[in-house]
Amino acid sequence: MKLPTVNFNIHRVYGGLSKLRWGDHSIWNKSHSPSAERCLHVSSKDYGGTIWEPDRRGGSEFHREDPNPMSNKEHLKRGAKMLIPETKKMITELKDYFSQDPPKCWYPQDGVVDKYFEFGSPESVDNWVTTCDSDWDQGYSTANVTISPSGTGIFSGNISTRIPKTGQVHIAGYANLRFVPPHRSFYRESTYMFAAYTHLALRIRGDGRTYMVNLHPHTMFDLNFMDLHSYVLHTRGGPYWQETLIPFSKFFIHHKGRMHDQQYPIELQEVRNFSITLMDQNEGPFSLEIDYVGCIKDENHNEEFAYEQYYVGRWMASN
Amino acid sequence: MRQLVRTVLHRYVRIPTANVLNVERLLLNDALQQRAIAPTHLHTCSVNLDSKRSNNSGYRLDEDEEDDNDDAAKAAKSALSTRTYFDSDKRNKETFEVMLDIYKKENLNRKGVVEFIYAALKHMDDYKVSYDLEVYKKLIELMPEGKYVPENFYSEAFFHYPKQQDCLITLLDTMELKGVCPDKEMVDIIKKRFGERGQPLKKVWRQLYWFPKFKNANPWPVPWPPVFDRFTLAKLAVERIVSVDPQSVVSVYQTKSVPDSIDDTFIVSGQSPKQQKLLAQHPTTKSIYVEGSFRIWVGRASINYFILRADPKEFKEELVDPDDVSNFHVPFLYETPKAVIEKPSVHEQRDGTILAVCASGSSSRDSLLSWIRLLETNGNPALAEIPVIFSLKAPVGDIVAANQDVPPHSDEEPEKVSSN
Repeated sequence: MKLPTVNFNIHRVYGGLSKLRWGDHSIWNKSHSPSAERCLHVSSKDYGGTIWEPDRRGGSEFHREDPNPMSNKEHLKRGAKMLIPETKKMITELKDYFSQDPPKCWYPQDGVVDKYFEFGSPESVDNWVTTCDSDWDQGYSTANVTISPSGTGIFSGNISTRIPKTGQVHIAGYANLRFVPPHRSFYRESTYMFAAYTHLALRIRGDGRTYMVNLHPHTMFDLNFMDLHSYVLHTRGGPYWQETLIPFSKFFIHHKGRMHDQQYPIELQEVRNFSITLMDQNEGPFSLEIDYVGCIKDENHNEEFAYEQYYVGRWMASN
Repeated sequence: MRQLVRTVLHRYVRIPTANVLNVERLLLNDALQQRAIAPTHLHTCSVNLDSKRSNNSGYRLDEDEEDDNDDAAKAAKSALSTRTYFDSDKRNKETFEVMLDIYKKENLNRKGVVEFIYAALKHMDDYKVSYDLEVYKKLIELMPEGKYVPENFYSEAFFHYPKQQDCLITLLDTMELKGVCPDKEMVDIIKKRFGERGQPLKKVWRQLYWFPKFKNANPWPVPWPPVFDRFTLAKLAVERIVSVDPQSVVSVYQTKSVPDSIDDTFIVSGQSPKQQKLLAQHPTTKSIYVEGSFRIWVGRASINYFILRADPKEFKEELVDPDDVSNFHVPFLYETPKAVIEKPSVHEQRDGTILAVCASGSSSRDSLLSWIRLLETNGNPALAEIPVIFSLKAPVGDIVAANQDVPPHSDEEPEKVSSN
């Protein structure tokens, strides 16, 4: 599947929150209590001890200065420019809708990988975004994504577990590679439907480190903004390519990196995004070469969920 | 008079507590007796972690010198900070445990146990005990039994002894980061200290539920506790790489056995019969390459490896559009076989044919030359004929750039060292 290149601007797509000023939130972090975060699942930014999550990105919007602040006039101009292509896009979508042509994700062939997140042309690197702790001044790790001459993507960088002396974090060292999914017309969120598949299929060439594969669920309420379904991705390392199948049933759910006590399988009807994280606390360079990430259907895989579903005692779970 | 002298002596002349930790364990009892003389003057566990590190001898006996440096004076005035506990020259498990014993014996009422545990966690890497479950247990056992157990519903609900519970959660978090899995005994230890409903107990239960699920999930298991020995790492790494072909043989060579070799080091080499066959069939007119160094991680440590590579074979594949029905035909009715094509082995990849893998002790060019010579004498006589090009990225060796962003397929110019 060839995905269109998206001209992606973090500040604008999610409603331009950077224009709002909520005050300097760094002052709140002085009363950082690890127990509150771990046990009560309150917001990491500590908005007066509430569970309110004002944005999907966990408050990182507020901490980043907009390098080129835009005036209202410019906003208007830019918005007007978007109107025509987005309307065209919407017409195409409507045509697709009325044609009632079933998409390929409804009826996958058994044992055939449908590639959803892949590299290829040099422009395909724009479909991926790397993040690391040094982006938010919360560490010293670096990450970047490049295209190899053979057309595969290389996610590489350096993990540093050195903790900055700002006192905001007590653990550092992560790098993340995230796909930028194509949006629907007028910057509406699009989701993938993986319900007909059973496995996530990856063709990778790692460096022996253990990565984490994340599927982002489509969430509506702020309570679930930070939910993520993940599984570990072990890499062999060495010059050989590795083809890995991870059953969707094995993906566990966690919230801000803390495991949910009451686990449930991911809703494959609406998967918002895919990402790969490295945070194995090993200091040093890393490199993960990715050919494609796709989905596969295995008729013989009947597992619904790999983890126990028994009732946890009263006042025990999620506390 | 004697009492007065003793008091003055211990008030104004600091006892070199840190030095206690430097001497042999036999002297421990003497040291404890010596310390026990003036326990009231020793403020235990005032956390002074950010203050400037004083000289390693611990405390100054010379009073006049203290005024010279304010920081040093401050450090010395807090007669016993946690820093001094972990200021030993001998950094090993034994010393660490001695320090825990000293703390236990000096503080019968466990004053400042939270600060002590935080300080201990900070120094666990230095003392090489961060992968040791027993040490974590001993640290938890410093906390008194029963004192922090909530007695009624309300204290249970409102996070009884919050600092202590936070401290223990941080300890369990540290274990989590290091990959140490708790056991049943640890659950009992925590239960005795924080009761049935304590947050640390919940956390350790969660750990006991989740960790064993992922402990053996790695298809290429890594040793526990992690190894950092160069030879073991090299062996594990090569075994891991060649696990792609079950027939592979991993052999260990010494470069000494090669005439004219400069280095004296080991070489761990991996090759399968299939690769030997591929090498034997390789045309002598085409050159093959020794490439590296690449990095592989085995558990907590990484090591460099090198490959012997040939140019990729041509894969004849026609792109067929499955939706195109203009050329539809039934394969078994009208098709006649034209040629038998052998299925390419796992070593024949699109970006090159891998012929052998190695990791050497020094990662030097000379050791790689020895490797080629050793491969030649060990089942690959064709190497005498085939030209080998050493295209190594410099620098090769232990030097690791702080942010190495060079991808393995970068367009660096290969440095031609030798070709025959």
